[in-house]
Order: sequence, then structure tokens, then C-alpha cells
Amino acid sequence: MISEILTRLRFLVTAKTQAEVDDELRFHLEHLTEANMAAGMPPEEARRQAAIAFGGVERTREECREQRPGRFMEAVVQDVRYGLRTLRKDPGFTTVVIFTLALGIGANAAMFSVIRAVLLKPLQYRDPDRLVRLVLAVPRRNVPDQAFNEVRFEEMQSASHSFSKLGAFGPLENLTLSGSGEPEVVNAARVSANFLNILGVEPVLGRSFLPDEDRHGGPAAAMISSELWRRRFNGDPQVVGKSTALDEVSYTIIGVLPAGFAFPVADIDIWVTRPSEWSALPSGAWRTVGLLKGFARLNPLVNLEQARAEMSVLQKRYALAHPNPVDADPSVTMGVVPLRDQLVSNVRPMLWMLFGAVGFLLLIACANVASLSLARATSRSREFAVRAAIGATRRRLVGQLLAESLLLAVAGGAGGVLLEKWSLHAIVRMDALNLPRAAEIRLDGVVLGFALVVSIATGILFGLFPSLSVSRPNIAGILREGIGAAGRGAWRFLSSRTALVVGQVALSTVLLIGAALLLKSFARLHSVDPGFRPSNLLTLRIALPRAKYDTDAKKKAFFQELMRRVTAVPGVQSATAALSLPTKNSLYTNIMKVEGVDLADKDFGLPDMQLQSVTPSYFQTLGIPLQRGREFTAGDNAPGAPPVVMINESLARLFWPNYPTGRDPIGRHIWEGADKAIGELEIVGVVGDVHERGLTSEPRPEFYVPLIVHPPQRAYLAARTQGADPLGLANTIRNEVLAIDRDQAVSDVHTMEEVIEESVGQRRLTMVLVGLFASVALLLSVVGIYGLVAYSVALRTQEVGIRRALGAQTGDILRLVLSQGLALAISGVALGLIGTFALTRVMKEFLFQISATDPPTFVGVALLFVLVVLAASFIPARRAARGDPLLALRVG
Amino acid sequence: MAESTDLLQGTLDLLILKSLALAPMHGWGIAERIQQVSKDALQIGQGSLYPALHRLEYKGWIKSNWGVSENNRHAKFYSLTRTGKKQLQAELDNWDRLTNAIALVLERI
Repeated sequence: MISEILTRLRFLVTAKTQAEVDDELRFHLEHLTEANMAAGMPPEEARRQAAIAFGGVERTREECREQRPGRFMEAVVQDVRYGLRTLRKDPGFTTVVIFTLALGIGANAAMFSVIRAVLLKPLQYRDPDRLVRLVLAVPRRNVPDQAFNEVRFEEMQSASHSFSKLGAFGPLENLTLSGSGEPEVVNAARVSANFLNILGVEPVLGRSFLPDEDRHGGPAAAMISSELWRRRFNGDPQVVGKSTALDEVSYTIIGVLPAGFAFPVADIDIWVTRPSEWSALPSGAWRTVGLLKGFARLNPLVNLEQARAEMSVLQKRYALAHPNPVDADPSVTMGVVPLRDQLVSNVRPMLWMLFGAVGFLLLIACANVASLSLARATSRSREFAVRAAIGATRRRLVGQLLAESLLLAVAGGAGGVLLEKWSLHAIVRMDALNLPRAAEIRLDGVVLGFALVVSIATGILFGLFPSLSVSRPNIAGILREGIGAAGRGAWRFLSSRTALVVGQVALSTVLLIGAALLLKSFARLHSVDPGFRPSNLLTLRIALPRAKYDTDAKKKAFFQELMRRVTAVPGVQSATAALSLPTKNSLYTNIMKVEGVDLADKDFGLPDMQLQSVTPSYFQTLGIPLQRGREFTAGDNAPGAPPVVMINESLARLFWPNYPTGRDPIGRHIWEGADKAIGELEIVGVVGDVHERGLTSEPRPEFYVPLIVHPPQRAYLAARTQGADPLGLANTIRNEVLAIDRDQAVSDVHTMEEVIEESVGQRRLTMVLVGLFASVALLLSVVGIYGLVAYSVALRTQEVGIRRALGAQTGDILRLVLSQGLALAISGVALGLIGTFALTRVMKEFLFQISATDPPTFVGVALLFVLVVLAASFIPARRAARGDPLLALRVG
Repeated sequence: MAESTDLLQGTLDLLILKSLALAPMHGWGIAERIQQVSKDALQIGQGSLYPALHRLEYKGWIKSNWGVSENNRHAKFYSLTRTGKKQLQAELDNWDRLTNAIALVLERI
């Protein structure tokens, strides 16, 4: 064994020379001649017979060389150098191929890095596989992740055995941070005191929360992010123990969290305890209003299934104890979902779909490049025949072609990585994507490895077709008669190219139909009547500090003065202040009693009724139609006025299913319960439904009270303007706010149309991206089809010439060529339609009010494709029909 | 050109090694010898012979020296190395095993 290696090493250094082999072969031939002469042949004849018996020496010389150790590497180097030379000689081809591949590989690598960071990588917590989210799903109302109340949370905490620790987080808030510097609005999260314990994260400074800090009325403690610590406290190591003010309430800073910590979401500046103490609600509502979302760490010996089973038992027990219509609904479930899956649940289907789309794009690009290489290989068949004749083995020919493809693919891959680097920057910055874990997206070794593997796979994929076709050349035929007469071979290339083009058309059809469906959905979405008129509306947000505006009277005075001033601004038609606006975070509460209606649960009433608190001009300003009764008046807002309420159509139907016929809701009383401050209310009007939760979700039962009944701490201002540019009035209105209170901050200044756009931003982006991919795919297929038809026309020049000589008209020739293109288009489109049917399940999730097998879309895209293919075939067809038949015959 | 494809893969190596076991020989001699001994049944063409000789030499089983042939010509003589001798024995054992096995199968089925 060792001696064998030594021998090989020796020969690696001192290779045998070509002359040695030649000497040996000559010696052999001479012996053969002598043997013939010994058998009695004349010398001339003996030499001739010997040469015939001996055969060609080139292949033997080549094969002797092949035996040499290290020959493989030498061949690779030779192939690569030769490949580089040939590619340089054909810059047009090289550029087109590299660009096409860069596009395909870049898009795939970018999507891969996003998917890896967002969907695949484990969360950066201790034992992340054991972390779960408790997800309350209300399928009947289409709420996938409903917040639950503190009562249920405490029951789960005390009764469940599946979890070693169970915690909750509440609604996110914007609080005003003051003390030690300028006041600023920060993102705050309310979490249970055990949250770091559950996640297994240690603060970089200070300590975690204590159980006592979770008690209503307990000490007020806050933890800050590393970012806030550096930005606002200059990284002061003594920051722990300092006190700071949030909405003018004093908190003690007890710790600093590690950089990049992103729970429950990214970009939180400050964490405080008591998750149900949402500042938008009065303290009476904290226990019964659904505000919490649960998360937990599984006990070591418990699996997901066991935890789910236990939760479903607890859910049944809770429903029995609280038989109100929503809680007792048997379709309501408390699910246990891995924390990571829940975190990314809103983007997962979209990301996989986009990954699929770019995968298709890469395949189409591959098909195009393969088609181009095939064409190029055909025109190089003479070169290959010559190489085969002078001794190249089949392996060397295939190796040569593969080396060229791999060179192209790796160059394309390098271009792709550049493209990826650039597009990742763009992706991370796209707010509309709403990507969780966006900070973890980066171009690292794994992603580069992926790009390399994809490039090589691509190179082999598109290099294989031409290599296999070319490596068995009909040497004699090609050398003797030139390319034109290597007919059979050329037709063989043609059939491989046909398969490629059909595949390409099929894939593009799928993409194009997907894009068309998304486009249509988006159009439908925009034609949804939101229930109000969003044009010419300026909106902005005002948060009144709790310490400064501590009484209802102060809040009411502020809003009254604000309305008086804003309404007086020239260009403002009407203005309103409201607790919430459509698509913004709204407030849900319980209705305890309804006059003349029997509610099943006397303790909890009807939960999850949306509460709006508005100034009288709200309905007029937003353009919400009044159906019955009257709107609020200034008198309803006067102190001591009898409390009144307006309800929406959905709520009226909930109480009186026969509405608008049957019993008249006007004049009846309802009792609001979760917020004890409100109590009894008299219905004075019914208004139309508004899509409060965005255009895609159905309106829900909602009731409106005058602002004085429930003066909010944070409110939105909406002003309907006369001009078409509401933002033009933004500064004037901001100044009016400052004129009342020069410390009052104004935020989120947008037009209502922008607000609605933002709520459908992810859909728009998905549509745009898929549309983009589909257009590129269409373009590539058109190029592919054009190339193929042109090539086959060139092959058929002689046939066309004969036909024309025999009397075929221009129209006949056109028909002949176009029918070929048409056959391609139809088979491709048919395959594509089949593929699309197979993928309907995937698409359904992204569509709105349109079937995934929408017939007009399918027919439309199919027709479009057929037309495009006909157009692409027309140019070569006309060339064939117009050419000189004599010339055509002579060429043959 | 005489076809050698009828020979099993590796069989040519065995024939060459066996031929060289008696005395060093040049390429032509090896081919001639195999042809004679097999009564013209096996004709080894140069296209198979020389690549095989080179392969064996690169493996270190045979070595070559320039010498003078029987008719006084400059020729390359191949001879077995020590590893080559061991290899020949191993190949012969292999061959026996294989032919016995095939014979058994042919008899029994």
C-alpha cells in the first residue's frame, strides 16, 4: 500500500513523456509489420495491413496520459482554463447567462436568509424548544389569538401542571418617559414578573422582577433595554436603583436587558409588570377585560400533546364556571403552540410562498440558460467532433461542458450574492413586511454555502442537457458535411429544447396566475366599503399624561377646547376626537345587561364588545351613516346629562335578530360592566358597521358613548378637510394643540388613506413581489420561445424552400411555423394549469373574496400566454416566409 | 483493431501480470504471447494494452526499463515488482474464487 502511494508520488513528480509512449507504439507497429512480412506479404502490403490492424494511435496516447496519477486535477485545470477562454470569446452569451443566473440565485439566497433567520433558527433563549405560547382561538369570530382576562390567567396558573412556569404579557403601550432629560415617547411592554425566568434570560445589569412587583398596588419597577440605557442614560453603570417617570408616575429602574432582546416583540424600550394594567382602561376593568396573552415553559417530562390535553380540560372547566356566550362557545380553544411558531405565524405562509416563487424563477432561469447553452453547443458541434477525432474521450467532452456551466454558475452565484446583499438591506427595511426577528437576518456562512450549493446544482442542471446531447457526436457526419447536415443531431437538440421551453411556460403560467389572483384580491380588498369615507381625513394621536390630566373634568376640558380650536381652522370642515380610529388598537369591554334581552351569563355579560368614546361630530366627520334615531349632541356631553349610547348594526342584530324590523332598539337601556364608571346607558341611535379591524375582517358589535362618559387618556383626532391634501393642515393643527398645552406631544400624523394602506401593506408587498417575479418569468419564457422557434425555423430552411418552390403561399408558411409555437404554448399552459390546480391550497390563504381557481383568471392568463407565444414566433415565421426559396434550397 | 472488450474488467491486468511472472517482456511480446497461448482466441490490441501497462506501472506493480530486443532494437521491457508479485497472487486467488463460484452456479441452476 505504502509503496503504491510512493510510486504514485514519484510519477506525480517525474511524469512519463509523450515520446516514450510514441516510441513504444512505433516499436509495436514495426513488430506487426515484420510479423506480416514473415507470413509472406510483400513489404508494402505488410505495412498497410499492419497500419489497418493497428488502428488510430491518438486515442491510445490520450488514454495512456489519462492513467497518470493527478491526471484528474490536471484535466480540471485545463477544462477551466479552456472554459474561461471560450466564454471570453462569446461575451454576449456569457453576460446574458451570468445575469440571468445572478437574478435567480440572488433572489433565492435572499429568501433563504430571511426564512432561515425568521422561521428556522431556534430562538435565542435557554432551551427554546420548551417555550410555548398559550393561544386562545375563537374560530367563530375569526380571531386566531384572542387576549384573555386575568381571572382565566390566575386559574391556569394555579391549576395547570404541564408548565414549570406560566406568564403573560399585556397590550403594548407608548408611554412618555420623563425625568433625567427631555421627555420622550417610548415603547413599553407589560409583562408578568416571571418573564425573564421563563425565557431563561439574565439581565446584563441589576436584577429581574420580584413576585411582589406583580401585585396590583405593589412597588413600581421597570427594566430598560440596552439601547435605551446607552441612548438615554449614557450606559451609566449606576442606573440600577435610579427612578424615572413613565406618564409622570415614578418607577424604579431595577435592571438592563441584553442587547437585541425582543420579547414580546422587537424595539421595546422599557418593561413594566402587571400586564393587565393597561393605561387605556380604568382600574375596574383590569380583572375582567381580555388583555393578556400567555406564554410558558413546559415541564421537563411533558410534551406538547399532553399540555394541549390539559389546557382543553381547563378550558372546559372555565367555560362551565363562566357560561357567558363567548367563553362557553365550544369552538373556543386554548391551544399550546411552540413560541417560535406563534411568533412568526403571521409571516410564515407568505415567506414560504415567496420562496416557492423565487424557486420557480430559478428553474425558469435554468431552463433558459440550458436552452441557450444547447443552441451554443449545437453551433459548436464541429469543435466537439474535431476534439473527439483527435482523441478526446466522452468523459473529457462532458467534463469540458460541465466545467463551462459550472464557471458560469459560480460567476452567476457571485453576482447573486451581491444582489442578495443589496436586497436583504431593502427587505429588512420594509416595514410593510412586519417581519419578526428581522434583526437576526444576515448574510453569513450558511447563506453563502446555500448560494454556492444552489449555484453548483444550477450549473449541473443546465449543463447536463447540452453535455449529454453533444458528447456523442456523429463525428464523420459533422466533419464531412458541416453543421447543417448533422440533421439528426440537431433535431435531437431541438427536442430537448422543446421540453425545456414547455417546462418554462408551465412554471411561468403558475407564477402569472398566482400574481393575477393576488392582484385581483387586492383590487377586491380596495373595493370593500370600509363603512366610512377615508378620503380627505387627517388623523393624529394625542396621549394625555395621567399625572397632569388626572380627572375626567381636566380631560374633558382639554378635548372640548381642542375641538373648538380645530373646527375653527380654515379648511377644516369638521373634526372629532375619539378613543380609537378604524384599524387602530380598539378597546373591548363587556355589556352586562340589556333591557328586554335575557343574557346567559349574569356575572360577565357579553364580553368583547367594542367600546368607542367620541365627540358628537364623529359620525359626521368620518361619514358613518346614521340608520335610526339621532346622533350625539352637545347636550349629551354636558355635565349631568343622562348617559346615552349609540350602537352599530351588528350589535343591534345581536340583541334583536330581526333588526331593522321588529322591536325598535331606540330608547332601550344597556349596562356596560367591565368599566364600572359607565353603567346604565340609553340607546339613542343606530349607525352602520365600520371595518374597525381592517378591511379583511368582518365588522364586530360595537357601541359608542359620548366622550364625557368615558374620557380617554389617549385619543385620536380626525379632521375632515376641504382640500384634497389633509397633511397640508397638519402643522396648523399641531400648533392648535400646543396652544392649549405647550408640553403636549402629538404623534402618528397620517391621512386616513395612509392608515388603511398601512393595514394592507403586507398584502400589497406580497402582490408586488410575486407580480415582479411573474413578469421576469414571462420575459424569460418569451425569450426562450423566441429562441427555440427561430432555431427550428433555421433548421427547416430547406424544407420551407421546397414547400415554397412547390407553391406554398406566405400564409401557409406562417401557419406552419406559428402552429409550432402554438403547440408549445398550449402544452406548456396546460401543464401550468394542472400545476396551479395542485397549488390552490397554498394560494387560498392569500386571497380575499376570490376563489383560488377563479375561472376568468385562469382563462385570461392562458390566453395571454398563447398570444405572447404567437407574437414571439411571428418574427422568425415571417423571416422564413419572406426568404428567397432558391437561396434556401441552395443552403441545404 | 482487435477488440478486447470481451475480457472482463481487470482480467487484462491479470493476464499481463501473469505473462510477466516468467520474464521481463516488451509490450509486443506480451500481446503475442497471450495470443499464442490462447491459440488466437485472445487478441490484445494496442489501444487496450498500453493504457493497461501504464496503469499498472503507475500503481507500482510493474516497472519498465529500456533494453535491447531480440532483433536488436531499442525497446521498453516491463517486469514485475515485489508488490506486483504479491498482487499477482492475490489476483489469481480472486480469479479462482470467481471462476469456482460461477462454475458452481452454472452447474446447479
